[in-house]
Amino acid sequence: MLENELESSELGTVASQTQFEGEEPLFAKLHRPSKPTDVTTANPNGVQQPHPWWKQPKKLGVVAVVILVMITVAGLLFMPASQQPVSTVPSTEPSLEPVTNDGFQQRLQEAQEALDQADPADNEFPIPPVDYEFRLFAQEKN
Amino acid sequence: MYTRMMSNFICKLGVVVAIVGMFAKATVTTVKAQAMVDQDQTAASQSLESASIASQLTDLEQQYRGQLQEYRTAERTAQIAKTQLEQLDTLTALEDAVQATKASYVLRDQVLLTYVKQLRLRLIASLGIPLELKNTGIKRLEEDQTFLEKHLELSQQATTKEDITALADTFAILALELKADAFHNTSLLAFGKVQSAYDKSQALVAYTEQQIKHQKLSEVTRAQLTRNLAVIKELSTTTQQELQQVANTLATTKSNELDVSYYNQVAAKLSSPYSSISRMISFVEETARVRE
Repeated sequence: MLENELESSELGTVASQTQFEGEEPLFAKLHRPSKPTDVTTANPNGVQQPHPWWKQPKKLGVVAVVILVMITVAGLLFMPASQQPVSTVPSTEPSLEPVTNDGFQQRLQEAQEALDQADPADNEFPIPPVDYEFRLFAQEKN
Repeated sequence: MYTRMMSNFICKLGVVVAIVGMFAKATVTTVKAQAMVDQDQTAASQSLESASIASQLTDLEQQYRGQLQEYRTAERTAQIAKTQLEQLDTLTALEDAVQATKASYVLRDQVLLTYVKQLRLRLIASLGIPLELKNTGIKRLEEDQTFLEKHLELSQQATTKEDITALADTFAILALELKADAFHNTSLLAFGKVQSAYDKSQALVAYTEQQIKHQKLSEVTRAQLTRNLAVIKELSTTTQQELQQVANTLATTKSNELDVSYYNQVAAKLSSPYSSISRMISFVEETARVRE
């Protein structure tokens, strides 16, 4: 009776302990994630929430690159025309001239030259001095 | 979840903006470059055109001088032949007179043709003439050129005294038109020169005004310069009005009013704005000295 009780008690202990076969590897049933999944945190309610993007270095890097590109594009778009290496053709746009005496002298000279050529008393291109009425025979009167 | 969507959206937006921005930039750059090239080409073609006109004018001036000299000789010969015909009244004298007259007519047409070509080119190259008047003048000169070319052809083909008489008759009509157009267009040229001098003086006045505005000056000097500018501007307004009156006269003149006195009248009207421009330039020079 006692033997039977002892035997059944031993069997129960063995059953309640690890039950594996000798041929099976020790960590055969151990679950190991093959790939890292999104890091999540458990909130007090037990629901896992994703980390914000600014706490993820990879996404932070991407956003930084995008912002950099946008700044560069904006910079290129709004760069003053004078700094643009557009072409080798010289710009014909009027530019603000520094206040110098050269500009004044040049304009003064141009105005003076134009005035010298404009004297209405000098008709430099009169009609040709030819005889407009020369006839060999007098015109017949009707 | 929302944050992730926002992050993805920003990323995509950034990429789109970058692509659009680069495309826009490239387009703007291309358009600007094209506009600059166009402007440069226009300026270059204008420069080439004016150089071409100047070159043609030089050639025509030389041609004109040579033709005029030849014509004078031919005209003297024709006058002598005419006198001999009147005195001798022979067939030989008649033949000589017809040939001499023909030669003088051919050379006269050539001289006038070269003159008309020069006048047309001068009108094209001139500045300060109202465009409508300029275009009308050019058109009339082109018509004169066509008539003269036909008359020259007929002169070269003339052989008989009847041909010579017919040529004299048609030239009498042509000469009236030709002289009227010459007086009108030389008046336009005179006006254009004064107007151009006025425009140049206005550029000088505007430049001076800008300089005064941007220069550091004492209150007393600035006040003096402002007074000077007011006088210059008043003179400028009066001159502009006078020039406008002359332009109106040029636009409304009838063909039968165009003779040698017409040019003299226009020249007399232009003398007042001309002297006003001279005064304006002197005043600006004086103002510049005050600044120094």
